[in-house]
Amino acid sequence: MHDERYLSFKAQLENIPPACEFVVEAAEAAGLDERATYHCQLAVDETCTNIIEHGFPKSQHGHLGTIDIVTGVDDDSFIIVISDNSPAFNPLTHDDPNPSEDLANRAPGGWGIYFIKKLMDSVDYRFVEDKNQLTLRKAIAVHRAPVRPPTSELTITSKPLPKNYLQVNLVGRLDSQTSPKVEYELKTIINDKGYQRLIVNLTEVDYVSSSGLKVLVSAWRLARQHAGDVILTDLQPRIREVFEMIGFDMMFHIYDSPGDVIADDPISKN
Amino acid sequence: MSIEILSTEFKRVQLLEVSGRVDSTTAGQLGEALNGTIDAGKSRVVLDLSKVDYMSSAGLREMVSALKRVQGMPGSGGDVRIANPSERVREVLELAGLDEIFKIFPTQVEAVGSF
Repeated sequence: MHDERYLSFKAQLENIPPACEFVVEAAEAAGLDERATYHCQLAVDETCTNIIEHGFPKSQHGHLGTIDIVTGVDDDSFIIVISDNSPAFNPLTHDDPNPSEDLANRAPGGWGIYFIKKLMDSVDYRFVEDKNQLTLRKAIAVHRAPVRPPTSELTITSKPLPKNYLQVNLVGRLDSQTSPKVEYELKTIINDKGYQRLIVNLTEVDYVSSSGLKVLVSAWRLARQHAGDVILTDLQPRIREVFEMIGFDMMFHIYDSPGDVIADDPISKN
Repeated sequence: MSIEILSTEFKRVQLLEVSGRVDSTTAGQLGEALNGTIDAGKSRVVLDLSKVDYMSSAGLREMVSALKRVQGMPGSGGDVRIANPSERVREVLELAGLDEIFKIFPTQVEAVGSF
């Protein structure tokens, strides 16, 4: 476990909010998103509240009871280890309350342990060296706070051309961020708008990633299933180089301009 | 740490607007406010939770206790209804199945008007 942080405090309720604050900071530093961070502080709150309310006799509050929290990151998970010196008690053996129980048949309380189990990706109990030790784990990958990449934008416009061609202009970067949108738009054009002869004008596209290539291929395949085609025009030199290197020029009709496509009309020739 | 509870009397409804962090250190205050309201004979209660940014099971326990109390008063038309819980509060309500037990309204006005 790395990035370890430690907190030790007397088992008194008023020490729980600062302990939650400690966990929130550690969870944020580990990269958890806001919701997962909230889950961690709630799980720690519920754990500590149970320890204080049930683990130590009232008279001993603040005298013998100590709670230790260690947080850290291990195996792409945020880990919280909560130890206390109250008598051995395994909370995981406690029966779960039933959330579909009606009002008359439910006790008002008793939700703490259930929440801990539901909010964490795993919970593990051990009794070691005369201490209860509860280990909570939240997977970071699943709950990672978004790291905003440089925003990538791509706009799509289209205009009908003679001979049932549709010119589709892409402007921007065709990468993993923008290709889902392009894929959706091209599919809609072919399936719903009834154009199967697409001229994709790439004048203003300065970057095409592998996901962008995939989108072009799937549109090409779809159009050809409908006796149409996806024809590429106006490639920037660097893009043309890439396309030739991977053999795209063997697959796609590539023209210098939409006008050349209309004049040549390769689809009607097929 | 503390919470604030603003209590407003309407003709037929008592509105409790709670703000702050409802946890094991503050849930007692919420319980006192609810019980005080019910003790005063007001069994139709709206809890506005829009300014509660944190709610643990200790807070839910007080809310369920109050609901059990007013619904156990036959003929009173008593109920505890919730207005505008934040996303995080709603999540814990759902986790405990309380979204099926409490009537929850998107706004204070709708909650008050529902009685």
